[in-house]
Amino acid sequence: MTPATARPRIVVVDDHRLFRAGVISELGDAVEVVGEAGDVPSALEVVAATAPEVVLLDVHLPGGSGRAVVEAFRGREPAVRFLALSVSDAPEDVIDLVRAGARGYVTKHIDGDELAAAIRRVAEGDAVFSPHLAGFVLDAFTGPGASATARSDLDLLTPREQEVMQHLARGYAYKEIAHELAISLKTVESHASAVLRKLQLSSRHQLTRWAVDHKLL
Amino acid sequence: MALFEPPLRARAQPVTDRAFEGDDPLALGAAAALARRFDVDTVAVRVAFVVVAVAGGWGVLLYLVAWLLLVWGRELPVRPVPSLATTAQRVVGVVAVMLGLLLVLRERAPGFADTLVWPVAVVGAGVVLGWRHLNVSPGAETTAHLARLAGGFVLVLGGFTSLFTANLSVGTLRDTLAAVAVATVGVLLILGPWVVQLTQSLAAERRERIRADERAEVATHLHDSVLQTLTLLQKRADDPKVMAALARHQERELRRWLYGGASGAGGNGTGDGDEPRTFRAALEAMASEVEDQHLVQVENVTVGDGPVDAPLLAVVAAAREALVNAAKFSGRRTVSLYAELRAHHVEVFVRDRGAGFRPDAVEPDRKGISESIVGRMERLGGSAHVRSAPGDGTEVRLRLDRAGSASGVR
Repeated sequence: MTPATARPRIVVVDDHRLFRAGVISELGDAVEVVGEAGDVPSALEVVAATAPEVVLLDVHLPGGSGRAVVEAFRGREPAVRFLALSVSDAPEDVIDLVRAGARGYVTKHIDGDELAAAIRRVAEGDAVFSPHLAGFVLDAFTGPGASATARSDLDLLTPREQEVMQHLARGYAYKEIAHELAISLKTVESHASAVLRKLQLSSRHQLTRWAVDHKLL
Repeated sequence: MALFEPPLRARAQPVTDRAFEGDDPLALGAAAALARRFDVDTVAVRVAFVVVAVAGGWGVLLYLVAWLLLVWGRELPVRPVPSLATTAQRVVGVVAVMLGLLLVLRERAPGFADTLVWPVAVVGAGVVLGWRHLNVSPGAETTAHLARLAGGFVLVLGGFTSLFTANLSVGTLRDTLAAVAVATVGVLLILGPWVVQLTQSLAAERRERIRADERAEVATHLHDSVLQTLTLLQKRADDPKVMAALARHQERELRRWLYGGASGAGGNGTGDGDEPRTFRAALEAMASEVEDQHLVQVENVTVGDGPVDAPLLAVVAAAREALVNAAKFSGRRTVSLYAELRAHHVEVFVRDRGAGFRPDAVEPDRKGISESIVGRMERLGGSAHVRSAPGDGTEVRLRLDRAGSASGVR
């Protein structure tokens, strides 16, 4: 794990040039923007060439989905971390990208400071959940669609992880959750990371059923 | 026939993919198509056909049958109209090869008498003439085209007739029936592909029309909603609050339209004046209402869903009161609403990061919290907690156990 600098080096991938410009100006000095891309092929190129710490990635891109970009860099050293930033609230988009290996998901409603904080957190190796993503995760793991019989132990969230997810879905920041649950900030972060890992590892079977339950398939 | 069904990959390819594309066909392309179908060398298949043809004549018939099956098993090959020279060369080549083969057969093969060979040749020529030129789009039939078709028709019928008059004795009723059957087969052979092609192009036309309709619907929707809102926005550019509300309203509507059931609304008519039928839809409808009336943004996350009933509607109403309070007094423009519907209980959290207040310092005549939220939940047998401190935001937590109604939850 590379030590994160105060100003993470990032690449912004989004097909709307104006949106990229907006994000970059909104982030201001909080990050160092080393590249931009508007579609999948140029994103692959730019990310490979600049080796940023964090890639801000849109879900829907011309020439493929953001998923293709995430998968292309999976298992690479030094690690390139992806933070999905999308206008889409559709669960399948969100879950799909996170399963592919994105370290977090935030919607485009997020304000500049929060986005900068999220980028920093991802650069440090943590997981970032928007309330929506936390809601989807709870739905996927603990909702009525997931019966206990069909889940492996791996797929289960511990009660503490569920609690953390629940607070995230309620709109709490990590710090507030730490305060609320009387645990340290690091513990909250490790719970969130554990949830992310389980999300990436949980069986294909379960996701399929979940998708069917939610009329996505 | 299943053997000749095109592989899945081929079927999924666009219409422009030609059935017999690839190797340049020598005659009708049946050998090349067979070779491709079974992944063997084209030349080998061609040689095999020729050998079988020479060794008894059946190769020619086999070839025609194979071509027939291939044609029937898929869309008709759509060929680019070849240049005149090529066509002429090819026709002459095919005719010459067929004639040569038949002549060889006539000389060498026993039982391959003139009465069999020539009618078959004539039928073959008719089929080639009639079918090879069917493959232009309907509506583009030219006179030359029709002439060729008619020529092919006459040749096939003539061939069949001579074949059977020469080989069977016509006279009895049975033979008449046979003749009629033969004639019908001939007509089917000639008209069949044309009918098939016609139906196919009709289907294609229908697809195209459906697509056009969809485009028109999208355009209409965008015009009715998005463009109207943009116009409104321009007019109200001096009032940022109203602008934000309009934009939010439009965003919500567009999102619902685009992602529809996926986001959980499930087509429950949240925006169309219908009563929402699921808990999620009821919450969404309520949240949008508060957004519109109080010009705030509600970050709405719902986990689990199920049909909405009277107690759940009361929970939604209590949550609404909490949202309205947050919108009015927190001073923040964002309120988060998180609801979790489980098999045995429902929990709703309304939270803002705003001004906060001291719950114990609320005047007793202020009924918002005590009646509309706490009182309402307690009458249902549930509970409501308000946690707030000045400067630290407010959280209202509603909880209702639903022991008896677990079965209704999906």
